[in-house]
Amino acid sequence: MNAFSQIPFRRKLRLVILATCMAALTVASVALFALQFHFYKRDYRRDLAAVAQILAEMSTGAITAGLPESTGDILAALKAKPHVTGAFVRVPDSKTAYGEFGSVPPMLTHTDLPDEFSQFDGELVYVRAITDGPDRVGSLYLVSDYRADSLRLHGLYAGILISVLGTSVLVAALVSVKLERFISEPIHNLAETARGIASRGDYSLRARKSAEDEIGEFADSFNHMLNQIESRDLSLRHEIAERVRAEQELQRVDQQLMDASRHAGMAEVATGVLHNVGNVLNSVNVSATLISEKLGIARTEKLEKAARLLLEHNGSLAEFLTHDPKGKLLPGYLVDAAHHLSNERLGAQEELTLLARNIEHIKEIVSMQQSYASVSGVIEILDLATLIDDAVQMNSGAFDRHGVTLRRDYEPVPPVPVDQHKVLQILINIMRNAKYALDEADPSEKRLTISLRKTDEPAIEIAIADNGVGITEDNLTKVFMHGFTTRKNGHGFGLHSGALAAQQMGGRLTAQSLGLGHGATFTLTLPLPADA
Amino acid sequence: MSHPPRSAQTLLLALLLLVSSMPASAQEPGEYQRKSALICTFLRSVSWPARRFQEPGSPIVIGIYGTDSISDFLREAIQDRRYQDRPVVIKRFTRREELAGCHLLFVSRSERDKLGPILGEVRRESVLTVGESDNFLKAGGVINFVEVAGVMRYQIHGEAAKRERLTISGKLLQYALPTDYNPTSPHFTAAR
Repeated sequence: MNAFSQIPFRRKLRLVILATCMAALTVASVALFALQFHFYKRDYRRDLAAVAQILAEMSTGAITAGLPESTGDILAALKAKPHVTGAFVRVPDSKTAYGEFGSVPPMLTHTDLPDEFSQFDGELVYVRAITDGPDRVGSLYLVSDYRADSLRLHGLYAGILISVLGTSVLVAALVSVKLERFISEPIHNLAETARGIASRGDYSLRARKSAEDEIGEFADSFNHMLNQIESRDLSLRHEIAERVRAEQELQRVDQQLMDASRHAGMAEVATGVLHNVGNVLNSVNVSATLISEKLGIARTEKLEKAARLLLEHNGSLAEFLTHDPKGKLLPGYLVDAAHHLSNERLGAQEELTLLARNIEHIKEIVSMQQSYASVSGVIEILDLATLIDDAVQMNSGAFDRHGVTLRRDYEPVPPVPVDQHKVLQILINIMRNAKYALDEADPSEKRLTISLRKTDEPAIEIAIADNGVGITEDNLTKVFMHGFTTRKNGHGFGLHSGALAAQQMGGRLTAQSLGLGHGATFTLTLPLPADA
Repeated sequence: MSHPPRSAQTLLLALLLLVSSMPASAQEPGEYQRKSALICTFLRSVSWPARRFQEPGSPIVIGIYGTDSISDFLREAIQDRRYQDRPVVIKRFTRREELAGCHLLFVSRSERDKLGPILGEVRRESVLTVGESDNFLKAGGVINFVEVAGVMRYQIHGEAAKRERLTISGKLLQYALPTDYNPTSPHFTAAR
């Protein structure tokens, strides 16, 4: 069946026609052959019986005359019947064959056979009674080579049958070649149209309708379908064009958005830089003011006066120092002044060191922000307690001024690999926020608790809790958003960049508050390496 | 009304004379004419033993014994024809001792009462004896002529033929009347 399915339609049709013709012809031929065979057999026997009857009647005279051998010239007439190969006459009570004609099987002459057709030694034998009136006077034996004869004849019939079949198939093939076009042509046209559409994608092609039959109907339906496909194709093309346009638009907007976000990113970086630098600058400013104040109230004026006194009494210094009441006080004063100046220098030096450290921090912030997206700062394994203390130190001036009580609650924790400046930036930010929160709430005791502990994660948690104004539940999630602030002159950037920095280190920054007036706790969680 | 011409009357007269002078035998074959024809058939249908002929071309001799009413008709029927590739000679015999020399012996009914000695003369001489007497077969003859309802028929005595070593064709036997044929018996008809 598979092989059949590969054949083109036209050939299939031809095959079907031929197969049908062949089947019909074969059935008809076989039926005719069988009928012919039957008639031949019947006629053959009838003919033999008729010949036997004639010969038997002709032989009666010879037998009744007692001269059965004289039937020889009667039986000789059988040479006109080539299929009768032998014949003889027998008289009752005798095994002798008289009037023998042709060749007779030797045993047959001694065999009694009934008056009918029988097979003897492969030959068809017909026995006919020879009667004289009511009396049987003898038997006529006819031997016929029926088999050879029928074989020859049926061979001829078979030959005719085969040649008739062959000729019929040939004629059927010729006729079917002419006729199949009526059926296959419309289908061929349809297939051709379909192929054209498939190969060229040209949906404007239409099948030609050549008849009002089922195929014509099919062609109509096909064309109708093509109409629909064509209109759908058209709308699909429009849609695709529309999509392409939309995609281009999207790309353009995307580009714009990317540009915008790049600008925004740059702005964010700038804001971050400004904010952090601003924070540090605050400390720088405080340090500078302190130095300036300390230097402002320095006793250089009196020292100048003492120097001038010494200059005035240049010739009589010994007398001045020993006799003049002022001169007597001068050495003590100088010692006092020297001591005082030395103290001041120490204080200024301390403040300058802090200043230098702050300026270093600014430098770090700027360089860190320059590589905001890709480059993180240097990772160092540091003691977090020291780092917290540094941050506290940087804000200590402000805490002092605002009367903030600081409580440290450090548990011993292992050193962790961190980006020092990021952690500092985060802690300073939180502490500054806490300071503002405490200022706003202004409780009787402004308390800031910094705790450090190790969790089971394993991670290190730095929690900075205040009893300030607190955060509403709504704002708890918003505080880390870029640009969100509750302060009049805030930027809404500190916590945002802090949370980002914590994320970049693999940690997180979270906020907890029981609501307004209940204070707030900011927790920086930093992961511990697995082996720590 | 005009008279026919004289010449036409003369012609009619001549025609009448011609018809009245024709022999009656020309209209219907006579008894011996028919017997002669049958004897010609016998010549074709009976074969003699080879010893009866001295050489291949020896003639078949037909002997006629008794009143001869047949020889002219026989000559007329046979003419110059050859039978079994032999010429035919017709002889009239008057002496019984000479009879064994012929092949076919026709015994006239004039000899009805002397058949015994005549047939005894040719017994076992392979002579086909043909007679026209009711007792001919009984006397040992082979073929006897019988006229049934105006048709000339014959009887063949098979045993006699066998005795004389004569081979008789089945076809001849086919049309023979039975030897026990009795013209007075009601169940025999000319149709047989």
